[in-house]
Amino acid sequence: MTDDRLSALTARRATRDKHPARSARVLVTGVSVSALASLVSAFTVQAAANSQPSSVPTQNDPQITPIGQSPVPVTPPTTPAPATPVRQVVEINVVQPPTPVQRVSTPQQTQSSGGLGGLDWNGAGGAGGGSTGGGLGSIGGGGSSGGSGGSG
Amino acid sequence: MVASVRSEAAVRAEAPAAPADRAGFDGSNICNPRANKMSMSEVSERVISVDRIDGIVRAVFPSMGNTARITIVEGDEALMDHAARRLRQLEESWSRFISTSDVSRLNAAGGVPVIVHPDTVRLVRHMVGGWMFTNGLFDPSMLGELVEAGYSQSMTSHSITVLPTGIEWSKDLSNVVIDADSITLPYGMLLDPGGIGKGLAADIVASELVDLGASGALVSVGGDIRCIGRGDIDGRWIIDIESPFDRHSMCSVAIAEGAVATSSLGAKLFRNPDDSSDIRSHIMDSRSRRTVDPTSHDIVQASVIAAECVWAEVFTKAYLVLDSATRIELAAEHGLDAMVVRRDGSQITSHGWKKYQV
Repeated sequence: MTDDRLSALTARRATRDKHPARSARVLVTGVSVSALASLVSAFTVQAAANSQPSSVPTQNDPQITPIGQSPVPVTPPTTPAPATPVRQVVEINVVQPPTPVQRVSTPQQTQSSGGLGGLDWNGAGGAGGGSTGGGLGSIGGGGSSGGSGGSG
Repeated sequence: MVASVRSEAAVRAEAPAAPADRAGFDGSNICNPRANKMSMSEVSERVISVDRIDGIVRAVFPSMGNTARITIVEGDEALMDHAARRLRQLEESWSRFISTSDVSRLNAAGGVPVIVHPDTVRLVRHMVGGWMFTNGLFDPSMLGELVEAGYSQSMTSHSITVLPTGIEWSKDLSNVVIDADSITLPYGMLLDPGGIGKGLAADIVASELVDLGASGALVSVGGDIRCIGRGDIDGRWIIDIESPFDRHSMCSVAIAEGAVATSSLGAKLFRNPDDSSDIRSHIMDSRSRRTVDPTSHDIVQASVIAAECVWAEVFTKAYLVLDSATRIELAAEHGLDAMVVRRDGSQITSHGWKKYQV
């Protein structure tokens, strides 16, 4: 490289008059103006939005469900209910009623007679129940459908 | 922790007043030499016995960490295969010892929605319902505490329940979210299907067997029994209830249709990982969220009769955590009947129990 070219380059550097701080000032000014414009726009939009009723649903809207809450309470598919017991087969022994005793008919005695009849009926039913129980007992003696023991 | 969990049989041998091991299952009318042996793909894989007598098919095989017993009245032999397959499907969906099960995925989701099988939606709905109907006495959200107490390993396999660490267990089941086939558990909630899974499985399989053509079906999973349709003994179902102190039947009940579930304090025992002399029960007290002491708790067994096994099972667990038998009518509010056995051997029954008792 010749001395002329070297001197020319040196001369260009030496003649530069733009201070680096100037560029920084330009940039800062630009950013400030932009930020100010953005803020003004934002406040303008917000003011416009506040002046009109919102069409966006809020948290008070029942259609909105916050995350983590069930839309509807979890319900079981069924509810507890009793099992169906085996219908008791009652054998009623037909017993000839005793020969009626001639009595003076009074309301109290008639009621009492009816009560006795009820007792007879209950007694027969009880006997039938016993018979049925005996039948189940014999069934039980022949085995069972299953065993229910402690489980996890 | 895992090494300290010994085999169930070993623990039971040393446990006071522990019920007999049910693994052997009383199959007195099962192994009949006159019966025709059948070969069915699903059943034969793990079958203990399969017999057919006078149009009644019975099979016994391991399932859900317990013994399943199926009775089909006047049904196609292939139904037994269906029953075994369905029980296996349900176990794969619900077991906490299977990492890919729906329940394991829910427990690991950390509050994120999980798409699950409709069977699992049904299970979780029943879990929440059981918690509500028993006012929280039945609580399936105590898996974290149960594992921390030492019950981390399956008692029938080497599978281990792995839990997330460093979180506080959530226990408010009212925050469970179900949307179609998506379930979201609250962050920190861990579900343990335990007994309710077996009860619901019995309900599901028994119903399906009748829907598929059987005149009657009994499905028993670990002592949780559901009976539907025509019974195998003169058209009715006779259920023996075993004593918690030995394997003998202490009473029998007859039902036309319904379910009987029994839970015992000593059915599954394990050791405290930090103190091998400390024997613990798998029954968790929902109030203290700690295991019920099997050596001192007054109520040692509870049986409940209901229309569906899932509800019978729920209320057996509620009874087991009660401090005394004074609330025997707890289930009567819902029309169910119960019998509890106290530590001294006395039995207390609800008012309506006798209409079932044979």
